[in-house]
Amino acid sequence: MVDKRLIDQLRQIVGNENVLTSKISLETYAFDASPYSGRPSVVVFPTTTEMVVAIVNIANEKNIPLMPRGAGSCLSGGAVAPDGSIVISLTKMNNILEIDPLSKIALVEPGITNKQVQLAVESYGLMYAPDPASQNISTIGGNIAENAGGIRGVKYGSTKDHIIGLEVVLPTGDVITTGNIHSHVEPELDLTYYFCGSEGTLGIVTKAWLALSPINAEVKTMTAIFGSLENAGSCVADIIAQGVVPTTMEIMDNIVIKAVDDYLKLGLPRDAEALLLLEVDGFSSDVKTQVNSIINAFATNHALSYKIAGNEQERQDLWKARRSVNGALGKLKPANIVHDIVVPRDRLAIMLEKVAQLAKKYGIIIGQVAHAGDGNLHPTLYYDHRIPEEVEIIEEACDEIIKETIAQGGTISGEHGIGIEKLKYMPLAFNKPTLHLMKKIKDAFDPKNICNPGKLLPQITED
Amino acid sequence: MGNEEFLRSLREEVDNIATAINPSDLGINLEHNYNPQLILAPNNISEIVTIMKLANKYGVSVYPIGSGSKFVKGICPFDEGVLVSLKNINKVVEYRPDNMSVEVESGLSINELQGMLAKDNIFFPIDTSNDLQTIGGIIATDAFGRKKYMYKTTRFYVMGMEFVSPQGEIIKVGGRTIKNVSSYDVHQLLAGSWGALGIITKATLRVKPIPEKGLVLQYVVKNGNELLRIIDSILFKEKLSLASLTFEQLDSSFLIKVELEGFAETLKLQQDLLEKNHGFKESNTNYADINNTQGIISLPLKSYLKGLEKLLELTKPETGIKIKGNATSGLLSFDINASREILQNLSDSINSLQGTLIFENLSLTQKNRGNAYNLLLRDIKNKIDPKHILVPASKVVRSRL
Amino acid sequence: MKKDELLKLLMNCNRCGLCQEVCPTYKVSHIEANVARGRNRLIRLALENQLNLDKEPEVEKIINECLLCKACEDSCPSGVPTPEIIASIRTHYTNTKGLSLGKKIMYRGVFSKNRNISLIRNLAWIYQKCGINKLVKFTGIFNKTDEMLPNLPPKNVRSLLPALIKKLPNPKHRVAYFLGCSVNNFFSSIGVASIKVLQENNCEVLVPEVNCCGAPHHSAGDMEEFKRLAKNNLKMLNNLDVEAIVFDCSTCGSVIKDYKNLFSGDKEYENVAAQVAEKVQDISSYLVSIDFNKNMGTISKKVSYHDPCHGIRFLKVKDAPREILKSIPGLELIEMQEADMCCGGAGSYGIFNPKFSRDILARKIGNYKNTQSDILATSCPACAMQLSFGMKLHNLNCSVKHPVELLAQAYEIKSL
Repeated sequence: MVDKRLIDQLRQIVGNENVLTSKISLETYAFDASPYSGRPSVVVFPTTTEMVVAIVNIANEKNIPLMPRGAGSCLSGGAVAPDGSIVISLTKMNNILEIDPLSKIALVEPGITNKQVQLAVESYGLMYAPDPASQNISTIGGNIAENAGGIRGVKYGSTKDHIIGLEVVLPTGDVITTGNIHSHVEPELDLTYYFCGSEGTLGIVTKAWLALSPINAEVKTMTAIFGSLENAGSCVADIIAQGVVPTTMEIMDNIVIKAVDDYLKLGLPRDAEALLLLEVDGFSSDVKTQVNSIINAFATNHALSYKIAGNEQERQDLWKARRSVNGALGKLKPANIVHDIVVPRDRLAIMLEKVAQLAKKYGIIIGQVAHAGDGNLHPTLYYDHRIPEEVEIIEEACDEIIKETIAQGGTISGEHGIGIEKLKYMPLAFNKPTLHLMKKIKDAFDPKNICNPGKLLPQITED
Repeated sequence: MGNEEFLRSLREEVDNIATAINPSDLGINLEHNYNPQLILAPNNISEIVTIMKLANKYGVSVYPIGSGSKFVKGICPFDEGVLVSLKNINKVVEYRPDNMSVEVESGLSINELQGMLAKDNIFFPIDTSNDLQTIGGIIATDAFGRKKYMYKTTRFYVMGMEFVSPQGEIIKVGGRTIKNVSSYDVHQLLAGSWGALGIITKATLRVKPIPEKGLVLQYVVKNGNELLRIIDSILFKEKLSLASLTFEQLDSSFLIKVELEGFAETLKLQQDLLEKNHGFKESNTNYADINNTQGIISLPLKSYLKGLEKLLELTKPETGIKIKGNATSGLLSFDINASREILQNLSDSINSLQGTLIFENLSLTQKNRGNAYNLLLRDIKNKIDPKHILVPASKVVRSRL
Repeated sequence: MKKDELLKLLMNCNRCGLCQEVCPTYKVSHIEANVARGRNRLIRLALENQLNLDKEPEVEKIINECLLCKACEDSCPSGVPTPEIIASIRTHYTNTKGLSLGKKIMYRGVFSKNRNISLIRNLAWIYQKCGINKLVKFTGIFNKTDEMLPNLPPKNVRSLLPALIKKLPNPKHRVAYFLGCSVNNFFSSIGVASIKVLQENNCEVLVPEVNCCGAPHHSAGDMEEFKRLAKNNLKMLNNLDVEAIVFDCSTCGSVIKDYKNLFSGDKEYENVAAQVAEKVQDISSYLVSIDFNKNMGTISKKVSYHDPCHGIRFLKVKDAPREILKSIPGLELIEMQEADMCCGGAGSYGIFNPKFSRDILARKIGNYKNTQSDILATSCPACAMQLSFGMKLHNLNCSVKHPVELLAQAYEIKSL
């Protein structure tokens, strides 16, 4: 089945110990954090750009699909190995090559984890702003491929806002360096940002120049509870309109509040319809001004009560409820699907309401947490995957959530990506000429369609 | 080429499209060696679609243009094809202050956009020096302003886009949400493409609340050494809400300006600090234009001081040098009566600092981008514009290498 | 555990991969088969009949490569008890295939009988003193691993007890001290220090005649022998009139604390195990709880602390040993990176998985080296054995000590 000559060639490139071919080890590279799986034919661990080039050249010559892989924590199936593919695991290319505290730039290899970068730059009083929930394990390469966001995203944006340049091995084996790292006075078309969020379909990032930000002197965390989702939603809109940009604004609905309270016995207000968690940062005088504005917004939007953390311990206590959501909700039913839809922030309250109505309509449990500051909702639908009728209902409800999102002027994925999971929704989100154009551009990068095929772009029928 | 047939067919399909022969008829000034055969000012987006379809059919080159202020910077001289002005495509499509987003047509000027937003205490953070520039233009050129250090460049504010593809199809990408990973960010490819990949017709922009306070402080230093010391301190040592740090040479002394933006209380503290430590006072003078000079140097921040030192060292007063700079953007600009030798020496230094030196519109430093990059751009271009209709004279995307 | 129960536990793994951050075998290999998520997937495939556990030696190898350090379980958002799952599968292997010859000799032949451990120890001591390596190699155990043994003391602790145990005039506390086999035979200085320190704090010390806690048997899936040993120990520890059973070995402490799960549903032993578990105390925690004597001499050294898996994750001991170290005048505690990462010792793990064990050890020693301290302290003799081996391997002239050894030293200096 697997071409023995291919394996020998790969072994010559990366060394015996860096090639996995056994059935058992391939089984552990078949999947990511999504429910999907594939059948790779070999896994290789290059340690240099040159090795990546050599591997890609072989794939090209033999027309073998390949897939770059970091931590394999993708939630939409982006890191599920295509059948017969060469999986290029970048986890052994994990060095920090340079930290330039004056220009606030770090040059890193793709396999380093987000957290390791944070730890390395911390001593310079700097941070790398994107902080996805998976940051302890997810790699910079993976963050770039998925354009990862994070809890601080409201204020600091997502990965693409913090990448300055990339070294990429193209699916043709050519190596390019993107980014206006050293100049921005000559007219040039910068491809850096097109790679961000391209889900490993356009090439393999082998180096990344990251923009670092100063760590802010002070952080203040607060929570407020509301009698209705609508009040919480309009409070969020008010805060934004007042010119306050919190680093975090998280909203939890009643189902989630109860589940977390059952799980951790934190003494949360079980009859509250919504809980808002906010964090602001900046110079201490900035923080003071922002906190005052937020307290005003609480009052105008009928918050039932609020709390401000006085110290780090109290801050961790406030965060504890939010951090435990996944663990707590996992107890409700054996299986769940999480969406990552986004709506314009002025539609957040409406969308929360609509999803709650859908839950009623279908008689299912949908827990809602949302990154309210950027309009990103995580409705989580609970079901028992062993009962076919439940699966069917859930699928129907999912389709309706997506349609409603688009009707509200939103987008189908804010964090997890299209991958395999949302391919079927792509024609709802984009018109045919747009999908065609995307395909043409993909062809320019990857003429043989060997780079992570079957992800992100659906099969489009010719007119 | 088939220009006459193109125009005839166009008139058949479009009722009253405005045409002109001279760019100046549309208030656009181009250099003498830019000679379009015809200038069109379509009234709506479907007319642009028609233009592109017919241009493909008859093999006519098309050059979209906004205010025209940067046109020659990204496009080589030409003497065939049509210029398509976006000046009539200038409506506000959807304004959502509660979402901090606004969707506009691309011919709208920065000036008009800022005027509308200001009523709600909102602004679009790109502070270009020329506020007649169009939204389409600043996106296509990924423009940035004096406060680049704080606000970066235009592309970071583009959340969604509609454009007409080189083959005349309406393409809609991105959206109106600040988080969006639904498929490829094609709008990020168009941002900074200098018109070569599509005619931008609409853009959804992320806007921001106007900061509570803005403040400009100034201070005059006697010599270059003092200048270096103050820049070093402000750029790298002080913790400030820094929007820009600029300077300009006045004979042998230098006028330094520090621009701060943020919350009033914080700025007051920082103002006091800058006054106490360095002697900065509040300023109300205008900013010098740093764009229209003979030479421009761009440097990574960490080498900015070294670059400035070199420039000061090489250029003695007898060269009549006048230096201006935006340290927070890594830019130095200057006018000089320089010998070839001095320029060569300067370009060597800037090269070794990984910077760029442009003198009288020519780059004197080597960019080490490699051929593969240009080949890839060519392939993208050829895939979506197989007949090389849109901006064939582009400096940034060449359809033939 | 039954197949259904196991599957249910495995279903909770949502493959998020957070275990990658903490799993020592993943940290050094970056390979998915060596992290909880990968191991769990293979087990799940086997339980769903897509893989045959008994016909895939690679799976068995992967199952045996887990250190059972529990770091994954503690960081798992869904709380998947991977160590428990792995242990169940190992039991399956032991039940169907029996122990490998090496393990059989090592566990049943050596650890199960106090006399035999002592015998082997004495042989090893002679071996170290005289260099007669052939004498030992016949056992097939110390093959390749002779460097792993610490420098052995000439006598074990139990034989020293009559001289050690003092009759205190007015004891304030009365405790049982659990003398585990490692401390007794290989690290007698720890045992001596424990007894001295307890007595220094006015504790009357009882040393019951216990046998091996059964940790090696448990990790190898030899449940039958494990239970036999556990029952013996419970008999010795039950009904003692003491306020605590004190452990200077985190492994022994956590294994014995966990007997109640071993005997869950067993009428005869469940309650006894629970009563004993109530009294199990890590020695540092116990000393802190009785507000130990702070009247000490000065030790002007830098020390770093390694958390044994069984200390930090099983007994949940984190601050107490550090508090003891910090209380010693002159001793400066410098925290190392990944202090709570397994050292790769994991009982007999190093003997059967030398590559992993050494790679993990190298990482641990590297982290320690960065602290530039003189002493590496830890509360488990198994870790101490591995860490001392690491010092030799990496040519470091630093000592490995139990916090009570340093405490005993500080008391001694004072009394001089």
